[in-house]
Amino acid sequence: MTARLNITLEPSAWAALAPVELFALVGRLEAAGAGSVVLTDPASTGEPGPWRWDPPTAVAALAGFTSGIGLVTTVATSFTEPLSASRLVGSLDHFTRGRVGWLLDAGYDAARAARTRAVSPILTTGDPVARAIELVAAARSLWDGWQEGAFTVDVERGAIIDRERVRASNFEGRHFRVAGPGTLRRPPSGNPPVFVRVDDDADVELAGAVADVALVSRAALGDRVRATAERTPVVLASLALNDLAPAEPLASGIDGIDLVVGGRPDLDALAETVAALSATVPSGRPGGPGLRGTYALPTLRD
Amino acid sequence: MSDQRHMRINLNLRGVGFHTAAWRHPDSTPHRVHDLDYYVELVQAAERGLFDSVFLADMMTFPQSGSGQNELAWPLDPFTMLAGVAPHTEHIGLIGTLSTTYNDPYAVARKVAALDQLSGGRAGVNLVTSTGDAVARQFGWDRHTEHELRYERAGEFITVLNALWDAAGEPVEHHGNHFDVAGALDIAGSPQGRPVIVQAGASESGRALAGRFAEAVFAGSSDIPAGALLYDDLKARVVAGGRPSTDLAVLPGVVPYVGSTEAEARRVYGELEELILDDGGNIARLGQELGLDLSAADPEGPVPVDDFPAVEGYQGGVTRLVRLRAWALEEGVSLRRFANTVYRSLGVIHWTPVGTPEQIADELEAWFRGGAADGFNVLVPQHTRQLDAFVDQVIPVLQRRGLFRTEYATTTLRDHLGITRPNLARAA
Repeated sequence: MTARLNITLEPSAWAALAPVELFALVGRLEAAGAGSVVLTDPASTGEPGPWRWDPPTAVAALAGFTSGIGLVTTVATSFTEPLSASRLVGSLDHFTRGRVGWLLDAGYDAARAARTRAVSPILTTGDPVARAIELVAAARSLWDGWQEGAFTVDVERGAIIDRERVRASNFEGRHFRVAGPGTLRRPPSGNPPVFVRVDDDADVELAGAVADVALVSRAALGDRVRATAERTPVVLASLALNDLAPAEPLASGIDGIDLVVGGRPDLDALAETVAALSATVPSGRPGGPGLRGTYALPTLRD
Repeated sequence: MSDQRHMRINLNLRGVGFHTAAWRHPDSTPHRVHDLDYYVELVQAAERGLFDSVFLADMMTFPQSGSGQNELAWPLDPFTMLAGVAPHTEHIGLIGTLSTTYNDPYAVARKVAALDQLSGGRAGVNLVTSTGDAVARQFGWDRHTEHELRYERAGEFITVLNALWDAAGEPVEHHGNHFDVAGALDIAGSPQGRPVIVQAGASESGRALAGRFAEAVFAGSSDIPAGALLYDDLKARVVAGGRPSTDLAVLPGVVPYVGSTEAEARRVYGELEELILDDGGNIARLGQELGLDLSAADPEGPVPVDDFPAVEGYQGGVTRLVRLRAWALEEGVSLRRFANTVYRSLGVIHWTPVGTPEQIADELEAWFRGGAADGFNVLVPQHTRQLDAFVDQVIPVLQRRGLFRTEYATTTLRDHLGITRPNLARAA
């Protein structure tokens, strides 16, 4: 099985590549045993570009050129609606047969707010972490509204959808109201895993509430996430490619590695490093299929 | 090679096809409608037929019960589907639908620009204003925005899109009634100058918007005189707006049933019609759609056209309302037959020729030469069989007549359609 090894590609490492170059890069990471790849959104880092890609377009394009690696897109929760997020992430999960994750970007910076905004009525402002947590809950309610077997395609009875197995969300929160049901058959993974990058207190709160996979910049942050989490997430320690020490054992409380790659790395050298890391990172108990299987996450099906 | 004008041909790709019972046919594969490889096969077939583009409509609400193939017509997010398919194709244009009412222009500019980069300049976006309060409730609102305000927002939306795309990374400053946008798009400038804007509404506001901005219109007309009226009206608006009339491609929808003989075509059509299940609920469905109580109406009596809602203030699809009214008046059929036809087939909205490749080509040629079409939006009744039939049998006839390209001579959607590139005063 694949290692608990995520590769975070910074914008400089992927977002300006030609399609064939990006497919080659991610193909090499997959062949070297990486469990997943995060395509960091240039909009999250504020690097002006110009770029060729946004993360969801790249994940969709990569779907047909990869078969095992998890592909993690970004959702900017301050500027996105639950219905749109659930359709985007769920659609990607269908095309990749359960290999998609979503990294939450809960930031609310002024430069972004000046050019883009959410389209729903603003119910409350000033609490972007609470909004992000609620967005995840609302998106999950849309996915969960389609039970197993709802997409029945019963030719004899003349029913495509078994309406007994679909329910409205009627989600009413502090930040969002969503009627539902969603338009989208439940994704193959049930609920695509949520990734949260953890650098500060706000991130700890967000990861504790909704993360399936926490990418922590210091081991101590992982302990704090665990202490607050309802469902214990997988904790991966973020390490820059340049700071990587050979064969260093994982700190206690760390389940795996998040290797952060910037610039235009030499493909052969990167693949060699990833292969060496994936051999040493514990793969944990055997998981099921897809990205949830890679990180041995519960399937969250009803 | 003739220098005469060529047809533009778009595939309107929907689930297993447009016939309401297509999904029940043994040759259909409805269980594949969530799979990438299914769409790759279909779009590659359209590309084999040298189509200008493939188009995906969209729906953001849970489908009404009993809506036949509509229940699996739009199973996934359109731009995800197009980005998945893009690297498996080389020439065909890729057009997705987005609502200007429930999206933000910066986010849309970025999404479409990224697809445009991935595909080497083959991206287009069909902009709709959405219909009905059910969509509003998916986004936290109780009521859908009223018609005029929606179209006002759509106009400003497209203005912002074009500004962001044309600036190619330079900051844009826009302040209007609906949007304040200050900042730069972070995706590189378009390989086709600018992604192609498509529009489909035929209300007065929709036509006005098309005249200002649209580069292709998916029109709904069921005969040549009606098609020609719409065609002339749209072209006049384009010219009045200062663009050459050729900068808008008017593409009426057609649902062709193709057979190698006329008898085979009739059999294909008949097979699908036979598969329709009449649940007896179509009159109630019509009442629900139009906001009428038809529970006491006589099914064998006339269609109560006088009770239909007025176009003014109608919150549903005005194009469809107008067509329904016209068709009811023209045909004079019973309420039962009218309701069944409305929910069984697309004959009310679109023209549905049934025949041999030559007969289908004759009809397409008559529309094309009759001033009603620059080309066609092909609504295939059933995938993949009827798409293959159109590609492998109808397209060669059109080519022999010099009406359609015999190879892709261009690489971008804008150039396939022959639409002028925007004159961008970019620093060299």
